[in-house]
Order: sequence, then C-alpha cells, then structure tokens
Amino acid sequence: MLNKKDLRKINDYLYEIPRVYRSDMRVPARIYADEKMLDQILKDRSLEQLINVTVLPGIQKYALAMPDCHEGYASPIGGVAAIRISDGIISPGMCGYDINCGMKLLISNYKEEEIKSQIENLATEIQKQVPSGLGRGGQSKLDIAGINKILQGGAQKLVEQGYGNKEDLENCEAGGKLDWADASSVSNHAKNRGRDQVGTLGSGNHFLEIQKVDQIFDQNVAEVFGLFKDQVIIMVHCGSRGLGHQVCTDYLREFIPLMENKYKIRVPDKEFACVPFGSSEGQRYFSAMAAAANYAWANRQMIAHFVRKAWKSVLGEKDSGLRILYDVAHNIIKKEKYVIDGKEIDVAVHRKGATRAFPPGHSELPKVYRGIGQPVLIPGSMGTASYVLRGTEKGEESFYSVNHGAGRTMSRHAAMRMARGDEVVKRLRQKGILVKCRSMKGIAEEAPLAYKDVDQVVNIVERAGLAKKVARLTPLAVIKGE
Amino acid sequence: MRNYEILEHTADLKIRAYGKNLEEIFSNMLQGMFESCQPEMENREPVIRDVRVKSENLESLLIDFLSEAVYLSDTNNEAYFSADLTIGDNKLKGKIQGKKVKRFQIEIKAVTWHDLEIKKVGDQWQAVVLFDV
Repeated sequence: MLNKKDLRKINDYLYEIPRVYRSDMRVPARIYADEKMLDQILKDRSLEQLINVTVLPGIQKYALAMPDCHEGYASPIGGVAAIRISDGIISPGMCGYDINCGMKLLISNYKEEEIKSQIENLATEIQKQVPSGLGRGGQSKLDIAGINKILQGGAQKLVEQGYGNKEDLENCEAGGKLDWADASSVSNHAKNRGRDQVGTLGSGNHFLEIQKVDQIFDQNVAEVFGLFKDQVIIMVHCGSRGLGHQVCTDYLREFIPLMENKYKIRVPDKEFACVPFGSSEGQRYFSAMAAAANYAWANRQMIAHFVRKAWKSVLGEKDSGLRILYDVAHNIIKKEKYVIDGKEIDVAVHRKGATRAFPPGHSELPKVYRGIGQPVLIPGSMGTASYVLRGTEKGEESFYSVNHGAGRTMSRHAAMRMARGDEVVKRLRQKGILVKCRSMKGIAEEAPLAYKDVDQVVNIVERAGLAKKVARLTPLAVIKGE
Repeated sequence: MRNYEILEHTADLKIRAYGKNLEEIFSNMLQGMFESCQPEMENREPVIRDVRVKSENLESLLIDFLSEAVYLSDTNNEAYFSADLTIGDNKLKGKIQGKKVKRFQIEIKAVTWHDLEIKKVGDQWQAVVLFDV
C-alpha cells in the first residue's frame, strides 16, 4: 500500500512518486495537490492506479494526476498520459467509456436582477425542451444514415441543418468535428444506441445549470470572454451517451486478447486494453473514438439549440442572444506536439477526466481567444461553484491539462447513507438554488458532501500555474437529466 | 443467502454476486446490476429477450453477457432482473426477463474488466464486477 513517505515533494502543489517505487514503472508519477488534498487522495487507490499508467509503452516524462483525481478503473479519473506516437500505444481504457464527456458554456446579455423573476420559468422550460436521459424526448429516432452523418460531421453537421451558427463552431474545441472520424469503424450496436439520444443529458453527474457570474478575477480577460459580474449564463455537462459507451466497450473487448496475444503488451490492469498507436487496430479505434467525440459535440450543440428555444419562449424574444463562450472535452485522446528532451515529439495525449488548457498563442484556439489562452470550463458538484479559467504557458508541464471538476470523495452508496434526496434539494433551495429533477432518488448520490471542495481544487491548479482563474460561477437552478 | 451485495468504490458501482452454479451467478449479477440503477417501471407486462453469447473464457462470457444486457436495456428502455440460461463451454443461451422502464436514476455506462473475479469458493460461486456509472 502506497504511503505518504513514498512521495517526494517537488513544491507546495506538486508531488512525485519516483520510478524506483515499482520496478515496472517507465516514468515517475506526478500528482498536483497540496498536503491536505494529498491526504484525501491517499484514501482510495487513485495513486496505485496512477502508477499503473506509468507502465504504458511510449509514455513520456511522467503520468499525471490532477487534484480532483479519484479511483476509477485502469487510470484514475483525473489522469493524463502523453504517449509517443512513433512507438507507443493507444488505450481505450485510458480515455474512458464516456468519450468526449465535456462542458459547454452559453452566456446571456442579462444580469440576474433583470430576469430574476423568470429563472424558475426558464428552468422549467429548459427541462421540458431538453429530452430526458433515456432519450424519450418525443423526437423521432434517427436512422443509421443520419447517425453516420453526425459521426462524420459532429456539431458542424447540426449547424448546417440550422441548429446553431458559425460562431458556435468557432468557439468549440476542434470546431466541433474531428476530421479523422470514420463512421465505418463504429459498430451497429453503438449506432443503434445513438439513434434517440442526440440532445440528451443522461443521468449520474451530468447536468445543466443556470448560473450567475459571482466573481471576476481578471477583468480584461473576462471582457474578451464576454463575462461580467452577475451575468446569467448556462453550463452544460454531458458526453457521447450510449453510443460512446458502446464504442469503448467494443474496442476493449477486441483489444484485450490482441494486447495479450498478438502484441504481447504487459500492463497491470486489463482495462487499459492497449495496442500500438500505429497498428491498423489502433488507428481504427482512434477513428471510432473521433466519431464518438463528434457525436458528443453534436449532442451538446443540440442541447444548446433546445436551451435557446426555451429561452426565447420564456423571455418572448426573437433571438435568444445566448452566445457560446466555449465547448471543451475532458475525456479524449488527441494528437499534440511537445518539445521533450530538446526534440519536438508527436504524442497522443490521453486525458481521462482532465481538461485541455491551451496557452495564449496556440494555433488551435479561436482567433478571439488566441491572445489570452483557451477558456477552461470547470464544473463544481451539484449546487456548488464552477469556474472559468484560462490556459497558461506554464501548463506545458502538464501537457496543457488541468482538472475536470471537484472530484468525488465518497461513494454513491455512502452519500446515500449520509443524505436524503429531498433534504439535499431543501438545503439547496434555502441557499436560493432551484433543483429540477424527475425523481429524488439520484439526487442524494450527487450531494455536495460526496465531492471535494471545488474552490480548493481550482486554487491548487492556479497556484501550480497550470491555468489562471477568470471567473467564479454559482448556480441559480440545477436541471438533472433524470 | 443473498443474491448479491454492493461493495464500496469511490465513484463506480462494484457488485459481488453469489450463486450455487454459473447460471445462478450470472442471473444474480444481472439482478444486482439493474436493481442498482434504481429503475422507475412503466408498470407494464413483463418483457423477455433472447440472449446468445459465445466467448473465449468464463470471465469474458460474464462481461459479454452483461454488456449485451446493457445494450438491450439502452435500446429498448427495459431493465432485466432474472435470467434463465444454459451455460457450458464458454457459451450461453437463454432468456432474460424484465420490465419496461420510464427512467433509471443511475445509468450503467459499461461493464468493466477492472478487478473482475469469478471463482468457486467451496460449493458456492462468487463473482465481482465493477460497473462504470
């Protein structure tokens, strides 16, 4: 069992498990945390799982864990691995089942006081418009040809069909479409699961929140992002739904025997299910993962469309005026370039519960943000604060990655023993936060007490220099998928 | 003897199921998986689905069976609480029984291979599966 004394303190916000800790480690493991957070992280098996990540063939520099990390399977959630493309692997398990789970932020022109009396109506109407998690929103099922178009075209396809505008795509990671997606590498099982789930939130920790800008940390950057104090904004958290889950399930199933028998890759947890990045199988998964990522961007774009519809119907306006600030994934594998030991190297950055945070000047950023860095969207747990940050140059040390939320600290089971759904809702209501859910049962599991303190997590990321705080957001209404 | 129990895990759902033979343990794990999703029923007639799975070993057979049930559940909006199966030679066929569902509180994203266990302890079978939720 890993002990605190096995860790070397690099600075107040960064710890390292040296390579000598276990003979199969190829690189050290690093954890962004302060001492208090580290004590919390040591309570589950996150760091044992992080050590397993260091074993992956082709891994560069170190395996990383973010301060919100917690135990998962294969990698901990909140894990990052940059794998050299020329001789390394690709791992579906190191991306996770919810491919391109991510965040979208829509911003309005209103201050809270201007539409305060309408917030409840807005929440009710949004809940009506955004179909429930099981995909029974009353829309017709797409046929397989329609699904293929979304897998190839992502959010771009939906904008072409009138569900958004050009600016929505500019303010979305990858323009809402990965070009190397290939619908033919996605199984019919996966496509069938996707037929009635475009524009759905799903259950669990996925949510939609009406929030207000509670605090601005950097006025100049906030202005470029279009944020101002007390502004009403809408945050969406969801992913690729059953389609993405099935893509990961299919490829894990195929890759485990390939990894063990054909490629003879030894890893401590089957769930990594890795094959060489350059192999035909690895490339097929990479194109299927991209297709699922496109589906997730289309899903969030469709939700934005429904939100705009609700907004217009409640406020009686011709144009909702809701602008998309940004959309970014936190479960994904992307090809990126980094200078390592003086040489530029192509790596496949596996982010599992970690948010990309590109610095100012990065060519992949929309022009409007290029001078200041990528908007980084960090949700808190239900009823607590969320953040907008921006990427920094120093973030290169973490392969431009930061946390993806607050991070669980208590099992769903334990949370249910500690809190009752109706009590959680009542407590939030006392704080002025509405909760719209179709049932109370799932609420207790997502109670704030089951999560780390998001303010502390974000402070660690900022003090480590990986990103800078721009604004703190607090919820006015929480809308759950189920 | 209970059919299954929930084990502690920070974020996901870990279930240990018990059974006197393979057929029973597969059925009990299925029951544990869907009961943990806290489904709200449509209150309709029971539904029955045919399943047929072939795998290279027993561990894979359990994962493939549960994954197929997740697929059927997601595409048909159903939850299954028992199975009537014949298992042999890493093959399985039979029926799973359940009901139409309005919604689940917890969504099973996938059946993982992490910490997977299926073994005979004395004259009892035990299996542990971690589900991503």
